[in-house]
Amino acid sequence: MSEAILSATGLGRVFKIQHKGRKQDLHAVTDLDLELHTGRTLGVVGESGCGKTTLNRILLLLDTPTTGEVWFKGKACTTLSGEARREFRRAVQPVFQNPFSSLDPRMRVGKIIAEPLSTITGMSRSDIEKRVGEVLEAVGLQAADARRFPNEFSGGQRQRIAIARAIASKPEVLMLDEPVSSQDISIRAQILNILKDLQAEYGLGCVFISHDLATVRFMADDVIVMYLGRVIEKGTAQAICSTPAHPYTKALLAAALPPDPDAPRPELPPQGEIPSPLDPPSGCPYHTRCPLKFDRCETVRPPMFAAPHGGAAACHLLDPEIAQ
Amino acid sequence: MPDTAMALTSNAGRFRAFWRQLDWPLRVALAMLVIFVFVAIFGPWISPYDPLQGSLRARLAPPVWQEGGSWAHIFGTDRLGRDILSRIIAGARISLTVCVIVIALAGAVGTAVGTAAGYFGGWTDRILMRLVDLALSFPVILLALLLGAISGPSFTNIIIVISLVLWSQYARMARGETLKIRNEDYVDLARTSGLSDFRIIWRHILPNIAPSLIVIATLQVGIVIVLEASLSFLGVGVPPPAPSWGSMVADGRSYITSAWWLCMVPGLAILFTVMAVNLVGDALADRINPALRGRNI
Repeated sequence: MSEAILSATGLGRVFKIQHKGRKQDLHAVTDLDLELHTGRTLGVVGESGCGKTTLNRILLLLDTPTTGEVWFKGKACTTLSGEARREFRRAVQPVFQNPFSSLDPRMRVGKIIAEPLSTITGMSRSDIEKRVGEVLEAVGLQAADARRFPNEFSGGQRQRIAIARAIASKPEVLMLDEPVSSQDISIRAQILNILKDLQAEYGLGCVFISHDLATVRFMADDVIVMYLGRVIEKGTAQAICSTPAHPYTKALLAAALPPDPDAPRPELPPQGEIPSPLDPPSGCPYHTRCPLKFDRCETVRPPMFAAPHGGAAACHLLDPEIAQ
Repeated sequence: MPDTAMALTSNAGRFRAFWRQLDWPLRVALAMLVIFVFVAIFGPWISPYDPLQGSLRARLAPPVWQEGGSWAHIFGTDRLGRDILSRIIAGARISLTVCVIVIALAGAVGTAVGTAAGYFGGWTDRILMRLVDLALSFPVILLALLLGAISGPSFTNIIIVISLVLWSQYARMARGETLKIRNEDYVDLARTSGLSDFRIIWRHILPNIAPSLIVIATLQVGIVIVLEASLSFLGVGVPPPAPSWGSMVADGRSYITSAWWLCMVPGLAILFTVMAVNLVGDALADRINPALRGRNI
């Protein structure tokens, strides 16, 4: 496969926080690798609190990792400066979850969309205006909407404005952090379709972060599953959403509402609550909740083993020695 | 609804619609404020006498409604025979000038400090906010007397002293409001668009915190007028013979038993102006930011 456009190696982020009067380390992301290739979508799945948003912020250079490095077109990102950093800003654009927080209420839509253009690219005023009209039409709004304020639009429309802004600078990577989670079901499909069309049209690479396996399956080519800041399974979207190998992924999949309410209950319900990232469990991070756990899970952290679906998963049950 | 729609098309109609929804104290206050500003600006053209020139033959003349008063001096004259109405009119200009300069100065410094503290957080925040605490702990009057003793009463001194006292309120408000919106996604998005911190503050933070700061500015007008009058009363404000309302009250003090209007007229001018300003300020606060309602600033 070609060289990755955006990748991360050994990424870790520890927050020093004050918890119950004591200074503690919060391990938001630990030892995480990922690779994104042009024109493909990488889904990142996990429940709330597993480090998805921290990962997103690190990949957007809004936060610096404690360990590891983000690579953009083969260049290390923490040392990017001046021109290279501007190129990164142009090429990597985000869409956030909440469209009510992502549009400045005191700016006209045209200005909001033009912001990355006027700061990063050296486009002239008239070119910017033309581009704003283009992207508004690309997301199904009108060029004349540029003169209006965000509060005149509904949630779905606002999210489309956010998408228009993200694609204005002709980026190569879109970072989508739960872009449809705050939308009504009826709007979701519309937004997802717009994103898919844009991706096909411009050959974008996308990182699609979500807690919802159904939308990830629709959007993504490859998937990584996160648990307590670590990747515990990776593979193609097809494989992970139909034949997951890790017990956690199986549970996630089973927890999604089945189309048939009378379908049999999932066979692998997770037990208890997600452990605190302040005090991650020893061994396999999932062992406190795993119904299939055995002695080794509590002491030895499982490495990534090749899984039957062609990807890999961090579970001792996949260890070829144990399987025999 | 068509009637209102028609009325709203003209400026006069819009004003009438706005006027109708105000209750009567607010109408009176607004009218008084308009008179105050008008008098302050056009004072030299409407004042009947020179506020600095008196005629000793006409000294301590009583106001028109008092026995012995005349229409020549509606509010009477002071101990040097200067017309009090003219001095009140000239005093309005001094009050307004001090207000505008102090609020511009204190507002600019306080806003800059507050947004910086709120936006950058950490050590910047801690140091700047200690500075604010320091400003809040200044004894105003002592500071004014000290400055007055060092360099004599002057217009510049009074502006410096009042600004030193008032900038901290902008700083606190600006910090709080900045903290509220610093974590909005549009600030992060501005960062991913390559905007520098300074431009993020200028383009996103300031427009969004401006309404609260405007409310503080209006509420401070009254405080500035009172502070200016108090300092002038104590003799460390606007130097004589400039007719500040405060120094007029001070001048009249020794005649309180024989010529009470010397104190009363400027005193009432202060009272009515400050009340009008506060009423309008409160109404504006209610409209722009209900969270500030009833707050004592």
